[in-house]
Amino acid sequence: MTQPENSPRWAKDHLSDGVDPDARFSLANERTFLAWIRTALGMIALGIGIATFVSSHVSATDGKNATYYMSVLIAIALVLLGGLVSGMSWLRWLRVEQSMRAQQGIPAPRLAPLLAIGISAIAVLAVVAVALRM
Amino acid sequence: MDPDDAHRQLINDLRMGQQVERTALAWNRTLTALAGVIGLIGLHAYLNHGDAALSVVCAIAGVLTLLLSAQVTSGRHRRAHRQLRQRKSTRLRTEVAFLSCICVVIAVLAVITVLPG
Repeated sequence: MTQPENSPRWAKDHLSDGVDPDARFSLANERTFLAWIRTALGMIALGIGIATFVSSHVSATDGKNATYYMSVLIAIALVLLGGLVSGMSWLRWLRVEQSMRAQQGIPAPRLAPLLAIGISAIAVLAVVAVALRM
Repeated sequence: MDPDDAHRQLINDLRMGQQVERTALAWNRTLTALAGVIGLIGLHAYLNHGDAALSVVCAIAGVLTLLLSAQVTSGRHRRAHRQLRQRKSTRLRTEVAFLSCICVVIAVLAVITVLPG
């Protein structure tokens, strides 16, 4: 296969070595990138949803307490984790493309452990928030 | 071309076509989700901060993203088919980088709106 002629400069710098992989593998890599982006968008949406719910609930009842601030912290953590995942998913796509061009194995994912640790930390925060409410 | 080769070619073309279609649908789902998140940020800004200007901007951006979604999906499908026929690489380098950057920007905007005022 031949290279696209109108590639941007960064793509020429990072994706010019090696041989073009099978188109099916490139398309599968693109779909995996899109799945990571959807995961990130889901986390951002959840964070905003929590913030909206908590804000409206607090204004309707009593003042801002520890549970309120813990919930806002959870919302911010979710949104930040979503932003981090969306940024890193591009690097992951790039690394996989480079590996395929070099005809090497797929590199171990850095995103998956990051996501697992991040969600576990948020789960701990959620448990604390629920405990404070009791 | 003997019948076996023709059959293999047909199966290969079919598999390639499905790959392109699945990728186009994945772009559609992702951009629709992006439009939803943009709308959610606008709703949050309006309900919790009374920021009508940001809500209107988000509503317009969400509608534009949905329109872009239709354009990208059909364009991606057409272009990938053409590139496969011409035996060219099928990567969408600019779009991949652009989408990733947009999501980071949206995350920053979301953090700003979520922060208690």
